Formats: sequence, C-alpha cells, structure tokens
Amino acid sequence: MNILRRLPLSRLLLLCALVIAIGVSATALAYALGSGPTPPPKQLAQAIHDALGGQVEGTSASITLTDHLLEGASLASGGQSGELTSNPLLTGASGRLWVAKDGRVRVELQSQQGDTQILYDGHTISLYDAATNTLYRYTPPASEDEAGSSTPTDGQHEIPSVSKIEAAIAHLSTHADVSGATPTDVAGQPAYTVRVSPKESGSLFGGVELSFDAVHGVPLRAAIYSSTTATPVIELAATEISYGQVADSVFEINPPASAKIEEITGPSSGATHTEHKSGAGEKPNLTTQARGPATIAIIESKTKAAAKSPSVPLEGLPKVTINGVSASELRTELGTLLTFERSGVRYLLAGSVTPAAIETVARGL
Amino acid sequence: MSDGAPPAGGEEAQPVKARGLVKRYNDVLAVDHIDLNVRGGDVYGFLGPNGAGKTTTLRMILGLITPTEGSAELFGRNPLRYGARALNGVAGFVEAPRFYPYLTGRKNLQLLAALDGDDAAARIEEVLDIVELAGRARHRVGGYSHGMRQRLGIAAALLRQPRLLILDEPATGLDPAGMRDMRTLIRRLAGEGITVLLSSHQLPEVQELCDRVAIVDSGRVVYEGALADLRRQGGASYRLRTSDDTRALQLARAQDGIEHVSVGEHGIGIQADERHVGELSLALGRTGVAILALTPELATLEDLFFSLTEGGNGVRPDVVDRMSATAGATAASQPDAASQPDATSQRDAAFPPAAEPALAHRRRPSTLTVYRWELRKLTRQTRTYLGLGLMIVLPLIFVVFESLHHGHDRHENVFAAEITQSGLATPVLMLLFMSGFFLPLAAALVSGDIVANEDGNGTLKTILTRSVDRGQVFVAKALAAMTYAALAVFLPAAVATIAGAASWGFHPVTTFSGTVVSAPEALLLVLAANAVYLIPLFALVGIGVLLSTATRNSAAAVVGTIGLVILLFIVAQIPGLEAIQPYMLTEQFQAWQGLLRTPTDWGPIAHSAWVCALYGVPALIAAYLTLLRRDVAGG
Repeated sequence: MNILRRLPLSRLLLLCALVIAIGVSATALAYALGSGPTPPPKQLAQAIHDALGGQVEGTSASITLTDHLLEGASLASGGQSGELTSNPLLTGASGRLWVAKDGRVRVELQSQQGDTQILYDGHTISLYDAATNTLYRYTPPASEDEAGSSTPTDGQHEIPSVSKIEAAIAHLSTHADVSGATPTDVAGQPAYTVRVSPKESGSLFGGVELSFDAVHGVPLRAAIYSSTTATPVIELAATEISYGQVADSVFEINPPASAKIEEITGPSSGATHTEHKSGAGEKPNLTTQARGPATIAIIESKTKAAAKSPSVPLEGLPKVTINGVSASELRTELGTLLTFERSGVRYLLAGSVTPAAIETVARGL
Repeated sequence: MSDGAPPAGGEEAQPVKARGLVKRYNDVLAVDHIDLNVRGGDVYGFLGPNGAGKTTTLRMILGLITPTEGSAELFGRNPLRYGARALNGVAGFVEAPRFYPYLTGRKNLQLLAALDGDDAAARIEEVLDIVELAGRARHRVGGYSHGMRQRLGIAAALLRQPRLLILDEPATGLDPAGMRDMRTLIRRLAGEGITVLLSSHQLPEVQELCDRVAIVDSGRVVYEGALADLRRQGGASYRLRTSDDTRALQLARAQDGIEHVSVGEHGIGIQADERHVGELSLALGRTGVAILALTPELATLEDLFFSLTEGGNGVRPDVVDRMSATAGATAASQPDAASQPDATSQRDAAFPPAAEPALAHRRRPSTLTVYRWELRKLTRQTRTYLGLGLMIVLPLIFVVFESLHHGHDRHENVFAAEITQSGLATPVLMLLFMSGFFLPLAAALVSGDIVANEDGNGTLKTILTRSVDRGQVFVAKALAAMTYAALAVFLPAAVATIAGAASWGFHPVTTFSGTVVSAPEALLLVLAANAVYLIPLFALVGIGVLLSTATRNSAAAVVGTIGLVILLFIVAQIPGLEAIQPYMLTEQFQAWQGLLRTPTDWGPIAHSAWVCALYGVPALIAAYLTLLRRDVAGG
C-alpha cells in the first residue's frame, strides 16, 4: 500500500474521482435495473383483464403509509387525543404487508410507541394497537351465501371479460372521470396507474389513484387526493414486494393476555359504534344535505341532561361558535367534522367540504 | 540512484544515502537539494544553525515526511517504499523524544518494544540501566524532567539494537553533567560499532564526537566530508620562530605559496600549505637561519562553521569558497559505500556478515499486537472511564427512578408500559433512550481522539519510527475505537439487564408487534439488537477517526463527530426532506428495532448495513489515506 503514499496527490485525487465515478455509475445502474421496466401501453379494461389473470401464491411487501389528513389540525396532545395523534394510522408510518392466496391480509404499521397491526382472516377484521395494548375486532355480518362457509376464500375467481370491465368503467364514468391506464413502475414492478376523480365540483375530495401490478394484478399503491393539493393526502404504497407463499404464522396476532378488547358491532341506523360506548339511550338520527361528493351527513342524538359529552377525542379541537353555542371542529384536507350540543341534542356534521360550508349548514339547524 | 532495492546477499548498504532532498512548504524552501552520505561506522555530524533544515532532513530520511523531490535510503531501503522495513536496524529520535505522559517510563518502553518486535522487550531493564533510569522507570513520564526524557529517548532507541542511531540535538536542555554523560554514551555506542548520525548545533559536541560532518545552511549543504579535511582545508596557519626573524621574514615574503606573512609578539605568522612550508624551511636552512619553532595553528570548527554559514569571521574567503566547492564535489563524486575499498573494509570490520540477517529479517509485530497496545493505552486514559462510567450510571439512574415511581402509567412505548412487568424491558428502553445521543457521544469520545491524541502528545513520530507500518497503526486504532464503541453499547445493556432483572424479575417481554416472547428469547433479542446497533455506530466511529486524523485536534474531532449526529437529527426534522431521510446515518440508529418485531423485519437492518457502509467505508479509507500520506512533523 506504500504506492498510495508515493503517488502524487493529483494522481491520487484522480484515482479517488475514478472510484467515486464507478461507484456512482454502479449505483445509478443498479437503481435503473431495480426500478423495473414499465409495461406496454394498454387500454384500461385490457390492462385490468390481463392483470387479473396473474396468480400469486401470496404477497409480502414493505409499505409506506403517508397520512397528511390531520396535518395542521390542532389536536390536543394529551389523553386520548394524544394517543390518536401518535397512532401510525394517522401520522403515517412504514411497515409491512402480507396477503395470502386465500384472502387473509395483515398490515403492520411500525411505530416506536408500538406497532399497529391490522389483520383480516377472512371473517374478522382485527386492529391491535400495541401502544395502547388494545385489540379492536369487527366481524362484518355474514351474507347468506357466505354463511355456510367457514374458511377463507381459496383465491379462485372468474376473470371478468374485457367487455364486462369496459361496461363497468363506462358506468363509473357517468359519475367520475376515469383516466386511462398509465404505464409506470412501483416497487420495482411494472404497473398501471388509474385515477378516478369526481365529476362534480364543490367537494374537497379530489380523487383516488390506484396502481396495480401489470402482471400479477396486485395493488401496489393507493392514494387519496384532495382537490386543493397536488400531493396525496393519504397514500399507501409498496416500496419492496415479493411474491410467494406466506407462512400461516404471519397471520396470527397474539396480543398479551392483558390487552383490552373492544368488540365493534355493525352499523346501526347509519352509525357505527362500539359496544361499550353505546347506551346513550335513543338511536341517532342520520340525515344528509346536498348531493354527490359534497354531501354533508348530519347525525343528531339526544343526550341525558347530566351526561357529559361522549366525544372525548374531539374535545381538544378548535372551537367555533354556532348560533351562540360552542362547537368543536376538525378541519382536514379531505373534509370537515363539526360537533356541538344544543338543547339536549348532540349534532355531528361531517362532509368532504370546507369548514365554511359545514358551518353554514350547522347554523341552519 | 535506485529506488531503494535492498542489497543482495550479505553486502552491506550505506546506512544513510540521500540524494537531492527537497522539501518545500508552499513558498518556503526548507530543504534545498541536500545530499548526504553516512557510511558504516561513521559518527556523522549534521551541523547547521537553527532553521537550516536539519530536522526536516532527518524526518525525510526516516520517512516521517515525504520529500518534495529526491529520495533517501536507509541501508539501501527507501522508507517511502519499504515502510517500516526500511527502519530495520535504525533507531533514534527527531527533535525531543516524545512519550505517553500517562504511562510510566517502563510501560512506554514495553509499548515501544512491542512495536519493535523481536526480543526488544527482553532488553528493557538493560537499557534502563544504561541510561540510568531504572530507579524512575515506575513513574509516569508526565513527571519526568527534560533530561530524563532525553535519556529515555536513548533507551527507547537502544531497544532496537540499532546499527544506525539518528539523534537530533540529544544534548539540548541538558545540564553540563547531563551533556557530558550523553557524549560519553554516544562515544561508547560508536565504539561498539554503531553508526551515529548526530544532528546538532553544539560545535564542541560535534568536534569531540564526529569524524565526518555535513554543514547545512538555509537548506543547502555547504560542506560534507571528513572533519579533519575540513579543518585542513580551512587553511593551516603556522607560527615561526628563528634565530634571525628579520632575515626569515624577508625569505618568507619572497617565497612562493607563503601568504599573509605577519610579525607578532610570538614570532612570524604565515599561512601556507605543508609543501610550501617545507620549501620555506629548506630555504631558511640554506641561508643559515635556524628554525627554533614551527607550530601549526589549525582553524577551529567554530571558525569554519561561522565562515560557512555566515561567510567570514577568521577564515579567508578563498578558503570558504574552496570548502563550499568541495561540498558539491564530495556529494557528486561520493561512491556508494560498497564500491569504496577503504570504507568497505572499515565497515566490514564493524559489521561482520553474521549480523546481516538481523537487519534483513527482523520479526515485525503483528497488527494484533499493535491493537492490544492501543487498548492498553485506552485503559490508562481518564476519558475512557468517563465515557464508560456514564454508560453505567445512566441505566442505574433509570432503574432507581423507575423503582421510586413505580405504578405510574407510562405510554411512551410498549416497553415503558411494561417496565415493571419484566426487567428485560429495561435494556430495550435504555437502547431506545441512549441510541440517539449518549451512545454516539461515547463512540465520538474515543474515535475523535484516537489519532489526534498522538498529535497532542507528539508520539506519532515515536511509534512511526519503530517496526510497524502506518497501515498497521491505523487498523489498530480503528479497531480499538470500534472495540470501545462496542463496550460502550454492551456495558449499559448488561447493567440495565442485571438491574432491571433484579428489580422487576426475569419475565417475558412484549415486542413492538405486541407479541409476547419468553425471557430467554428476549435476552437473545436484546443481545442481537445491541449488536445490530453497532452497525451505524461503527460508521460513526469511521467518521470520528477521519476527523481525528484530519484535524489532528481531539476536541475538534470529538465535537465535530457528535455535532454531525445532532446536525443530521435536525436535518431529519426538516419538512420536504423525507426522500433523503432513509439515507441519513442517524436514521439507521433505529434499525435494530426490526429484531423486536414478529416476524423479524430484516429490511431495515439490511438497509442500514449498506447505508452505513456508504458512510463508514469511505470515511475509513479517507482517514487511512490521510494518515498514510501526511507529514508527521511537530512534537
């Protein structure tokens, strides 16, 4: 190595520059090779049809969830609101995703406070939040044709024809703008991206974008856009993906015995609620105003005179005054949530509209 | 001149041969085409005023600094090409000898003996006796006087059983008795056949000890040759007393070759060479003038030195010119020692062929030996214990605090929530807590200091003039810094595990995924997590070593290393830079968390490995090249 000492500085620098150039070139080459080829341009229906023909034994992926939904929303940091704002579902996180051929799915969103696990085993959707050591479980009501089946689907399905897909797209196009299939690559896989945007304006909802593997038909990226920004508000994308059988043990979540379990029941009169929080007495009343994506949902429920507001997570929200009554308002890039209590009735208004629009409706109540 | 190919067979190469050495520092020409020829058995004086370029020349000869032009060989080997092998049989010191102040005299010698290899360690007591330091060898060098350090420097040189001893101003700072002892020692070593290259501005010392000299002035050799020739060429003066000084004066003035004839109180003074003085004496005899006394009066070295370096003062200008011309001619016509009959026979007498293998095949120390000594040095330094002490205290404070506040609800993370449920949650929490700042700080404390500390002590030249290459020193230092970093990681983990288990028991632990793992499995995961954390920490160590090597300043390197960590943390918080965050070193400090998920998430660990390699490997290569190519001056 004494040659490195005797080498004139100019030559040594030249050698270093050469090594760096080779390194950069190799990295660029590896990146170019790793980025994967883009598929040939196709009609959307044909691209969907071809992709659905691909069969995989299972999928394992590294994912990234980007979530700007509550960015800028002033949520209190303490108590349950604090837990809410630190949850990776709302803050965004990296993680992993597994999909079995029979339809079982597990999503892991990583956080230093404790991961959030979402598991669908074919019957039940479970969400375990390690940070709060709480397991939420929801079992959708079984339809009649599913009632007799006790196992997840076997993954076998009939591939719709191109004409059927075209018809479905045409139907969708009456309500929304559907883009063509844009060739791209996601997570190193050739993919097509399609964007669906509402035809009607007046809503904060700007559209959704879905990228799917051109060969295997596996969704690789999903994004929800606001009408006010060009970047997605919520995006779930694979960064690395591999196909192959996934071990059954992956789909087993075993929370500690001390974990709290929250059973979530199905919707009742339009509102989903958890068992332990129900019991206010009367069923809430759901009405809507406006149409299309700008629809505002209004839920009215009577409260007992002595009872405090049950909307604990919303208590830390900014306050606005509605006809002399203090109301809590959650402003997001996709919509607004407003709640207030008046004359023993709690009002909850939600819609993909601006705060001004929802406050106008609230003042009219 | 060859580039230093070692001599073949038993043929002995010239101890020192320098040709056209030039050293330029920006606009300053410190050494200007110096040629030196030190032959076997010489006691060679290297004379010159302060700032003449003597020390710079010696550094180039020893390979401590790289010549701008020219080359030097030691026994036929160029240090730039052969590295430490070129120093086989060579010992000495440049400027004041420097040692580790926190080690005792004996420990310093043990370290240097280890770096010398062979059986140098067996001679430690002997050399301590020679320099009369045996009684003080157990004391730290930090408390030594200047004279004691000079003597320890001689002792360190003698450990190597040198055949060439290079001494730079060895008597500087010594009291008269010390100077006398030093000269006696040098004379004795020279008497034992050791070639001595003595750099000095002490003229009596050189006049007393040396047989050949080189005189340098303003970076150039103005004379090189035998001291006797120099004095002879200085122009012999004679004092003449006769039976008839008047007649003798007339004859002397009329005689060819007799110059500067003067009459004084003690007779007639003349300047002439021996032949013309002989002719004058014959002429005086023929004319019947009796010679009562004819006394030669040689010029002193001091006269000649000042004449050569200041251009006058007692020696005729023509003589100065002649001597200066001789310097160039000597260098130009100086044959290699091997081809010079008288030098060869002289050398052979001093260095019998039986000694040759010792020179050619010195058993060099392994890098492992150098590494062990780096660790020993660490164990003798306060900062080592400051860093490790902090690593022990922090988990203890944490456990005590949690024990005093047990029962309160914690929700920082899954491990905090179950801190009182299992003691094995404690090391994980400590790793979470310390991974961002405290552990990098501990790593920076040593990595930022490990090379710069040598600069601070001036000891880099000391270890680089032994039998180890710069590459070995670098590898040993980098490994020592990494070893310390590993210790700084595993020590708090062990303390936290023991203290946690003692406080809250050895129970199963819940991972980030919410999966409960058994206590033995959790213990293994804790070990593995700490091991994975070392990946980015080693990369940081590489950066620390680079800063330490480049800045030559411990404080700057330590602060620079930890400052980089803080800077990266800040940059990671800047909105809009999300794309580069996965490639930031500080982000890799969390990669170990993949082990505490079910199933194990190897993705961040693999990502961390190559990202850290991108930081650490270039940093270490740059640090190595910096150390390899740098001029080791100062001290």
